[in-house]
Amino acid sequence: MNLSEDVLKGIETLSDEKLINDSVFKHIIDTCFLVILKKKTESDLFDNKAVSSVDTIALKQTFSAFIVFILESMKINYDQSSISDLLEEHKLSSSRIDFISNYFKEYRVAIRKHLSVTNFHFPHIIDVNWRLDLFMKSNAVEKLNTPVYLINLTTEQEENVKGKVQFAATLDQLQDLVFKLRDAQKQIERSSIKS
Amino acid sequence: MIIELDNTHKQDLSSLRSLSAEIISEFCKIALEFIKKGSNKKLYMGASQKLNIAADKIESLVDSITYLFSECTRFMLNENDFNDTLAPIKLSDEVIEILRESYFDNRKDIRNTLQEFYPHLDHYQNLEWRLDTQIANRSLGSSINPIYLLKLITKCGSDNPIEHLLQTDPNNLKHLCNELESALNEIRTYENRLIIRNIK
Repeated sequence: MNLSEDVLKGIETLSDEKLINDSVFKHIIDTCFLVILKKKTESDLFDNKAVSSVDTIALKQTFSAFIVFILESMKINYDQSSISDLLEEHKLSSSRIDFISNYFKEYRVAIRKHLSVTNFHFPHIIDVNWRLDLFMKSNAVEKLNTPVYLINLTTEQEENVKGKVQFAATLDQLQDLVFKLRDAQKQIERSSIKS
Repeated sequence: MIIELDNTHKQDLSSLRSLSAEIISEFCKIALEFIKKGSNKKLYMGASQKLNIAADKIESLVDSITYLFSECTRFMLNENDFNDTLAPIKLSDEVIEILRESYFDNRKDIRNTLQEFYPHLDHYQNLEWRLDTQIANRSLGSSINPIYLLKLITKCGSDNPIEHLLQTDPNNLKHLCNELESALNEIRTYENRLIIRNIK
């Protein structure tokens, strides 16, 4: 794993029990993990009385260093023992290493899931809504009585940014669409059998 | 039933009497094009030079034939009603025969075109799909994430087709398939068949 000197220095600061006492340490680690999972924001870092005793610059450096450490290690899916070894190399006490390891154990899957969707993508279809109408007549045609499907696809561009694609289809057109989608769906089963 | 033609239309159609069968069937073709694609001024200019008739006269004549065809199609007029509609104009049997043939040959096409005059609704045209597996991105190495890339093509009337680039994952695709299939099945339920049969 390639970590810059700043990051390594930040991790070493975490081992300084005089500068960072246990309650501050736990607060920093907790905030780092929850910020990555978007359950907390960076300003929550200063929302703790114990933190006020620590030099703000050192605190920020440590915080950003540990964030980078989490992201980089999760990017290559670093295993638990390698993480412990690396922390040990930088003089963290075993109780602190255990504390960090527990967080990794708990949030590993969630963080990797988060990282996999942290990207750009095309509007992602997440739901579909349909309506069946019987088209009876219009100003241009009478005696029609053909079924018309109105289909509304709900898409998601980024988290909680929803879009929609709306279109109509006749019975034949919808049959064609379903046939093609089924084919696509079966393809993944075929691919998984082959491999 | 009979379609009421107003005076301008009657005048235009009665002028067909002086034209040859070939030219009349050519006019019918232009009228059918008009219904499908909208008017084409160049065609009128060309025809006006060839026949020595003023272009606006030809345009109005094509308008009248178009009106006749689209209204008859609208109400699905049968042969007798079609003849009765044209009776007050007193065209020769030969001319009526040409118009009637052209009407019956193209009625289905015209109806399909008229059906597309929805207010602002895109219609499904085609779907192309591709199955990708995302194996890495900037923030995450060695992952396997199957993604379907879908190109949905829709079209509104005779406008250019619109392409929607969308993606989805296998679970959502399955959900999509199941939902749309249940939509297809809905039309075959007893209650709905009953409703469709009874709406006339």
